Amino acid sequence: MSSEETFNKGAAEAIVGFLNANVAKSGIPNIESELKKDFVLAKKRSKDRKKRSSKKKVRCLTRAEKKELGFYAIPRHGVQYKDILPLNQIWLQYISDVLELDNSIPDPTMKVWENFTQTLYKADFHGSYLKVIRSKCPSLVDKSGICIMDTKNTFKIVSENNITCTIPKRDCVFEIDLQKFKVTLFGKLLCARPAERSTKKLKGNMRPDL
Amino acid sequence: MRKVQGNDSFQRMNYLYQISKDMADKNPILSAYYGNLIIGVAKKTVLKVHPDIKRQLCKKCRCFLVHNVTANMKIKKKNKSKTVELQCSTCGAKRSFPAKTDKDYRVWVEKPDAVVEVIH
Repeated sequence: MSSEETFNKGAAEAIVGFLNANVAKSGIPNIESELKKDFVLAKKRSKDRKKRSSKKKVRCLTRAEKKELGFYAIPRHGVQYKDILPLNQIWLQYISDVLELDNSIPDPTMKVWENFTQTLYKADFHGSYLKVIRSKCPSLVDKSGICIMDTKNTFKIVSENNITCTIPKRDCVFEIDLQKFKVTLFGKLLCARPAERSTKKLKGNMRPDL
Repeated sequence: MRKVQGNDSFQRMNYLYQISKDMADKNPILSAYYGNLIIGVAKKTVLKVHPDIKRQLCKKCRCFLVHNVTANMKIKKKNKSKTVELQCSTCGAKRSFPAKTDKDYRVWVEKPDAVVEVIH
């Protein structure tokens, strides 16, 4: 900055000297006023802009940066089963809190039933112990584990032998074991992003295909 | 018993906060994923995240910040007043909080006169 200023000063003095030497004698007194003239439409740099650019704002990670950090690819043997076991215990506590399992378990014929299913649909499934009981793909049947990731179309689960695998939701039927009873979930109905599911409304009486 | 509006979302955020804290030392990437979900759920349901929870998440990658595990804490001097600076070790972003002893830095939600009624 300082070097640029001194350079400008030297150049300005040189220009003034040049004009003094070459302009006709009658014009010499006007030189100073002519040099100070402002052009209205000339491009000018304001001082504010420089200040603004110096401020740094913390931005969210972009998708490419996230990919570089490994947010999307969880390695097959990367997560230990014993590490996420406490997750399951917290989840059981949470789900019994949300569904109010201490009071009473409603029947499908009762009026409360719709409310009950609605809250179950809106609840979080991270940390639940899922078991596939039916699927279009026979190799997925009987796979079980704790869910660690929930995307729009898949569940990522970690089984007891520390293997992480991805299970598509659409064509699978899951079972969750809550101490008092078992819940069967049709994966087809859960096809939504986990954050979006909390605002979405479940359509009543959807018939699963056999 | 009166019901709180958006109670199940608050419960969900609370649960996500717990598991995010739990995973912080084992797998910071999963912790960031759950932290991201907290903000996502709050955005979708138009609820506010409590400032105490917000302060514990990294602003850039939403990873849970624990001193010496996922973050480094430093005390710095800025304009004659001390600030606590936390640097996330996953993405390298810094957060700083003012720490003057003679000043009250609580936001209004945290002050005792903001609480009107407690519903269990």
